[in-house]
Order: sequence, then structure tokens, then C-alpha cells
Amino acid sequence: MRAVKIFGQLVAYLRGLARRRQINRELEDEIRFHLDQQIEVNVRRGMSPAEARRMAQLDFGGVAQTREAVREVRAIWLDSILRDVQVAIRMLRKQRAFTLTVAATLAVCLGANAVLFAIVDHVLLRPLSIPASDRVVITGNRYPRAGVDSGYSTSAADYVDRLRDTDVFEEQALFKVGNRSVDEHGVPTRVPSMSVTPSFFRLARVAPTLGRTFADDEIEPGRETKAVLSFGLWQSQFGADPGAVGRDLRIDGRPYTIVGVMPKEFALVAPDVTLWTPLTLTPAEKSTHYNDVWGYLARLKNGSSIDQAQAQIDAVNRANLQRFPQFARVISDMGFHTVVEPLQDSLVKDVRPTLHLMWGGALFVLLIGCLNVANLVIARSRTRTRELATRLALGAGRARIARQLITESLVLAVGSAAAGLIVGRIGLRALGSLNLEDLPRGADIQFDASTVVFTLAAGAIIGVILGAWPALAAVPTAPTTLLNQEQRSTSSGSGARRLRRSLVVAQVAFAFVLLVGAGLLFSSFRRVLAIDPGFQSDHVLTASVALPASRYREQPAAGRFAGEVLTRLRALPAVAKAGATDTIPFGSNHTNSLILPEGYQAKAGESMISPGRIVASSEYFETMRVRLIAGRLFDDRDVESAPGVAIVDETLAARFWPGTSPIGRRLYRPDDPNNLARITPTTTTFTVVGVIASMKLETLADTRAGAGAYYFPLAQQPERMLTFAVRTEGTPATLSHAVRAAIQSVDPELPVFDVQPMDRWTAKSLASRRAAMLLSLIFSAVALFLAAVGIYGVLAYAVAHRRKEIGIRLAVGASARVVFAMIMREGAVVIAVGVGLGAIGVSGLQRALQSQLFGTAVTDPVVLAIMTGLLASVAASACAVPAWRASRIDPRVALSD
Amino acid sequence: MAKTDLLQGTLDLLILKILTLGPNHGWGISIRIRQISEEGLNASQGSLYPALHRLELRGDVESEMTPSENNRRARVYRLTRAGRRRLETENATWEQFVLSVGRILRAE
Repeated sequence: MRAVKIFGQLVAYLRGLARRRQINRELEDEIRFHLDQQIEVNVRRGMSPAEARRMAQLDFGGVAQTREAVREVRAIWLDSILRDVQVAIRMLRKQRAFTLTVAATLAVCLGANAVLFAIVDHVLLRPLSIPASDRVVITGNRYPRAGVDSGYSTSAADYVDRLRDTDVFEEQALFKVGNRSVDEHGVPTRVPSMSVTPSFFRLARVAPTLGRTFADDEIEPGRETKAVLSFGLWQSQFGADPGAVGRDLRIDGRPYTIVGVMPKEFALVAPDVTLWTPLTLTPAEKSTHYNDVWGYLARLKNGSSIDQAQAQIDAVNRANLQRFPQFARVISDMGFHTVVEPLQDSLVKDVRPTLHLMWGGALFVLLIGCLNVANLVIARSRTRTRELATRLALGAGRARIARQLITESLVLAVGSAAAGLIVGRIGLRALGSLNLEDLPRGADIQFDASTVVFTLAAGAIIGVILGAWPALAAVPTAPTTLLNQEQRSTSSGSGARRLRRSLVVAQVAFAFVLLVGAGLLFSSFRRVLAIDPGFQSDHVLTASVALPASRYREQPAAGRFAGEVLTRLRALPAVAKAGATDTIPFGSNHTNSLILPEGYQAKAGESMISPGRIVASSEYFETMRVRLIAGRLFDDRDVESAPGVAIVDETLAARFWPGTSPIGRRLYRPDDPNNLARITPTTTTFTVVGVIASMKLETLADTRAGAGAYYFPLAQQPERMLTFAVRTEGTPATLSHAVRAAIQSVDPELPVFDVQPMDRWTAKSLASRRAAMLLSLIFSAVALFLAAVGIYGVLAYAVAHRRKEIGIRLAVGASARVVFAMIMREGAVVIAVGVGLGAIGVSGLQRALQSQLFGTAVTDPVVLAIMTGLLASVAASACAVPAWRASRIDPRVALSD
Repeated sequence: MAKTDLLQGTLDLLILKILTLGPNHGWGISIRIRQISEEGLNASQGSLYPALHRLELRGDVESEMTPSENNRRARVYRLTRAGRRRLETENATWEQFVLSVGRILRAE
């Protein structure tokens, strides 16, 4: 309440302050004008100037007094606002139950909306913190018929071609996100980094805080050992020392010269990047098409549209197909095309439906809350009618009374909104466990000025509506009507009762829609959890390393490293099995690569496919407990010098060798574009030794008919990006230190990251689904509670109102049971109509929920039945209290009232 | 609020009446008051300006600072629709009052 008081005083004070100086100056002018006019008249009457002035002042009756009197009038007016607020606060304090109920309801509802507004505002509306970010586009090469239908990657050759053949872009840039190892106070640390063309920073239109960005010639080999630091890295590594520019930083063991530091808020594409280095391209890379391992950004020229950009890039692609006829057929069979999208859209596309859904839920809750408050206000305005009528009869202006009523509800609603901001702040912190930081700019979601303005404005709008309603209803009526009406209140007010009942029906309907929505999301989530991922994630601990190319240039070195680490891991007590892979399920490292079965005959129109290419060590599948379907798993036979072998999953096996056993068959990577089926002496082939169950790799709920995956032994195809997995006997997390130590005992300079149980990877991949489900459950629980309160309120009022009638019924012999049933029936009608209307609303959920549901239809009968039952039983319990009270009315007491 | 003391109420009424003739500034209004009441009713300037400001805050008149000649700025008041309505009702009340007072005096 204190806060409300202070807020009201503040508003009045600021208004007065803002205008005070102007009012005073104008008042001086007005008085001077009057005196001057009078002096002129006096002079014309023949007085001397001095005499004229004296007489004028005398006539005016004291300049100072007049000035003071006018100021007092103004002050009283300002004061009256303050007084209104004070009166409002006094009224609200007197009706503590009403005030607290309304404030709590609005605070919770507005708090929820504040949180969702902050998230939507940051993530969807302002996902990029660079100037004119809507002009920046990203492109992605897609080969849908080969299983590559997502992602935003481009070949370096595309970049070179586009620089030459397009004219819609002001700036184009190529980048590659990766990780570099940096010495942090002697400890090797893996930091997210990005190699970029010098045009990247010009495209961003962000200048460095310190130093410079890259010069155009710093992509030349030999000059590329330059680095631009993020603000964060500059602070943590150099204590924000301006002298850092020009110094050296060891990156992956090589010295790089620091040339600049970017501003704190700078982030483009990958928000966590702390280090930028120049991107160097070899001549071979510059001329190889369809090798899509880079990211490409461009800024549209003013006046150019994204459609023009798409057209020009399509033209470049067509020209390339003509330039390389040997690829044309294969590439077009794969459905090759390039998508051009605004960068903002590409960042938020995946989360947009989830966020809209959550915000929709929050708005529903707010709506239900407002209906509840409206209900309370109507109930209260009935009791206040007498007070208003009396004031009207005593001569208070109608506008004055309306102003008082609106001030009262404004103070209440805006005060609640302020409390809602606090509730929201706490809620936002609690949401931290929902992995908001995985959203674009998710890490800096906070309540800023726009959230505060949004929330207070929403409170003010609600306040004006809630205040204006009874004011309009009560004020135009003549006082006598109001006073008379109050006296005969037993028969009047049926209109208000009907209105209140309709509000409760609407509440029940909205609550039902929310409940069904939450139920569907919950049921989908359970179904997703029940999906067999193809492996067992319990009791598995993972740890990742990225071997720096500088020290592990030769592939065998990486293989030897992995072998040595695995030996040490297996020697640890409590470790049952240990393996390694480059593609841990639900991790971020995924490679698709073209492969064909021996004897492949291209059928007309059939595309070649690009299945997942995964490297796994011996014992990896045993560690993950992947089911072996045929043949064998990798073991110690599959060394570097042994013949190349591969394992395929059942999806790929069914595609390449339908109906026959793949064991002993050979896979090859085509190297003659003119004849794909030809195996030359230089073609490497791999003999299939085993078939395993398909593993879910990107998400559990991946419903896309993936192309499957094939696996190579780590010893034969070593990779520098490795994740070790160990199956533990006890709780996986207890082995974190031992595993980390084992890896670092092989290479002490190597940063080890993502040391976490496998379950954590699964949980992370489900984060946004879980967040949507949990939030919708919270929202629907609040909605259910509010609806129950609404029903209770209406019935309790009805019972109090019909006390005498019920007393008569009981007196003439109605049993308590009959009275109980009568009131319950009244509630049942409200619930039934509400659920019926809600069912119509549920059909509208179809579109909103489609993308979020998994294996559950919007019309899922189980969910509908459970939610109807839940709503009905909670609502019935809310009815039971007033019904029971009605049945216990003592006729003697009721009739003697 | 409507029940203000008689003198002030009369002054308000006079101001509104004068403004029906057209927008005017405070000095002009004071001259008019003197003319209308033939110098008999000497409304003090000290109460004229507070009355004007009060009427403005109540919404019966509105005002505007106009740059006038010789760098003199005058505040010009103008009757609002609310003011016109008030004038009508107050006029009726005034007549009622005069009538009742007359009746009481005659009844003596």
C-alpha cells in the first residue's frame, strides 16, 4: 500500500512540476498586460506616467496578492488529484479483502504477461543487436531429396561467385563458427570462436570499442594471425586493460596479435562467441562447389529486396549447373536449391510457435483474471450504490464522482501491475531452469524499460476499464433512482447477476481451453519421453574435447590420443565400458556425407542420399547399449592398417539392401562424377560388418524420415572433435573429476568440456518442449483456480441474496438435500455452458498447437475426458461450499432478518 | 463544489455571461464588469484572476496566450460548451433563488 501511495504522489508531483514554470511565467505576462493596459488608459486621462502606474497598481488591488491567489487555485487543483489518490487508498484499505484479492489476481496475471513480454520482446522482436538488422540475410544450400533440408551453410565457391555476379548486396561475408583453445591464467580453456572475412564487421556496422577490426589483406596466409576479442574475453583475460591491443594471445598454441575489442553488446549469429580471427580460404576451397561448410551473410543494399536477392542467387546456381554439367544431374536430383532468409527469421523460426503459444496462454490467464476482478467490482459496486447516490444527492459533480471511481481502480490496477513486475522478476529467475539461454539472445532476457512500460500500461488500461464501468453505470442516473433502487434491492440487480454469471461462464470456457491445451502438451511430452532413442542414456557420463589442428595435424595422432584416453578410462574403477564418437546424440556436431552401396544403379529421378556419417570407437555401442541386429560391433580388429569397415543402421540397411543382409556388402564414396557406379582403383570402399538399431541423433521427436546413418571405426577415420562416453556403475556425475583427469593426463593442455551425464543431453534436447509444457501447466492451474473462485463468488452471492427464499423453502419442509441440490444445479448449468463453449474454443487450438504436438491429436478423447472431469470436479467443489451453506440456513434466523 | 459562496458564484456567472459576447482577456472582462454593473458592483481585480483560473480548471472556459502588439502577451479566455451549459443551469438556479427570496420577503 505504501508503494501505491508513493506512486500516486509521484504522478501528481511530476505533473505539477512539469507545468509549474510555464504557468508562473504566463501568469506574470497576464498581470503585466493588465497593468500596462490600465496605465495607458490612465495616461490618456491626463495622468503623469508615474501617477498612472501607481493608480493602476492600486486599482488592481495588489499584484502580489493576486499572484498568490491564482497560484493557490492552481495548487488546489493539483492537490485534488493527490487527494483523490489518498481517498482511493483509504477506500481500498478499508476493503482489505477486496483489495488484496484483486491485487493478488492482477499481480500474478500481469507478472506472467510481463515475463512473456520480456521474452518475446527480446527474442522475437529484437533478436539482433546490430543496426538495421532487418537488411541482413542468411542463405542455406538445401538438398531435400538427399536428406539435407535444414541448416544454413554455403560453399566458399558460392561466396566467390556471388561477390562476382550479384549486385543487390552492400556487403557479403563468410564465417565459420568453431572452438579455439586459449590459455586462461595457465589453464587451457575452450572458447567459442568464429573465423570471419574482414567484411563481417562492416556488414554488422558495429565499430570496435578499442583498436580496429581486420584489414582486407589479413585473410592472406601468413598475415592471418590477428584476433579481435569480445568485451567479455577482454575483461576476463586482460582485466579490461586498454593496452591489450597489440599484445599477443596464444590461440591453439600459436601467437595471434590482438588488433581490437568489440563492444559489450555485440553479437552476430552466434551470441556466445568471444574471439574472432580472419577466415582464410585455400584456392581449392574457393573453387569447390557443394562443399557446404561455411556460413554466409549479406546485407541488402537500400532499395533492394530479398526477392531480388533470391532471384540473383538462383541465377548464380543455374549458371553453375551449366558450368559443371557432370554434377548437374546428381545435384538437381537431390532437389538442390538455396534459401535466402532474413537473418532474424532464421534465428527465431524454431522458437516462434512455442513463444506465441506461451504468450497466448499468459493472455488467457490475464483475461480470466480480469473477468474475476470485473465480477468482484460489479459485486462491490452494488454495495457502493448507496454511497455514490448519497454523494450525488449532496451535490458532488458526476464527473467528480467518475473521476474518483476511476482514480480508485487506477491506483489499484497500476499498483498491482507494479507488484506484478516483482512477481514477474521472481518468475523469470525461476524460468532459468527452463534453459532460456538456449534461445537467441536468451541470455540477456531481462526486465528493461519497455517491459516496465508495457506492464504498467496494461495495468492502467485495466484500471480505467474497471473503474469506468461502474462509474458509467451509476453516475448518469438521478440520485433518487439510485437511492430507491437500493431500498428495493431484493428485486433489482437481476441484470447484474446475469452479467456476473455470463462472466463466470466465459471464465470456465477459457479455463477449459487452457486445460485442454496443457493436457495435450503434457500427453505429447510423455509420448516423446517414451520414444526409444536406440540407446540407454542412464549411467553414462560424457566428456568432450576438440583437438587443436596445430598439434594434431596428422589424423593418426588424433586416433592415438583417443586410444590412449580410452585405455586410461577403462582402467578407472567403477567404469564398466568406455567408448568415443564424434557425434554424441543430441549434441551439436552432425555430419552428413554422400555414400553409395556397391552396384548402385541410379533409378530415374531417384536422388542419391547423404546419410549421417559418424565415427565410433570400439566399445562405444556397448557403452551406449545400442542393439546389434546383425553381424558384429567394432572391436580391436578394426585398426588403421586393417581393411576399411563400416556399420550401418537399420534405416540405411533397409534403403540400400531391402530384404537382404548387408553383412559383407561394400559401401563406397563415388569419385567419378561422370559415372557414379564406377569403382576405380582409387575409390575407397568399406565392408559392412554389422547392422545396429537406429539411434536418435538430433532430437527424440525427430519425425522426419531421416536417411539413416553409417559408422566408421575411430581408428580408421579419426576425428579431432571427440566425445568420450563411459558407462559407470554408480551415479555418473561422481566420476566427472576422474574422467577429466584421465583425459588431461594424456594431454594436459587440452580443455575438456561438456562433462555431463548423457541424461543431461537428452534433457537439453527437450528443453523448449518441456518449457512450453510446464508453463502451460502452470497457466492452466492458475486459470482453474481463478475459475473456481469465480464460480464460488457468484454462487455465494446468490445464496446470500436468496437467504429469505431458501429459509421459506426449508420452513415449509424442503429437506437440506433438496436445497443443496438446487444450488448445485445452478452451478452445474454455469459449468456445463462454460465447458460447451470451451469445447468450441478447443477446435481453435488445432492450428496453434499443431507444431507442438507429438502423436496426440487435438481431439484426443483421453485428454478431453480427463480435463472435463478435472474442471468439473474442481468447479463442483467450489459450488459445494455455498450449496452446503444454503442447506444449513436456519429458517428462523433467515426469516427474522 | 457547486455550492460556492454567493459572491464568488455571482462573479463566475458574470464572467461567463461576458464571455458569451466573445473571447476576451482579463482586463477586457474587468472593464465589462464595471460597465455592466455601472460601477456599482466593484469586482476587485484580486478576485477576478483567481476566478478566471478556477473556471479554466473546471473546464468552463479555456484560454490561450496570444502574442499581442508591443511584445505584450495577453491571455485570452473563451467560453467552452461546458461553460455555456453551466451558465444556463446556474441562470435558472439564480432566478429560482431571486424568486424564492422575493416570496419570503413579500410573505413577511
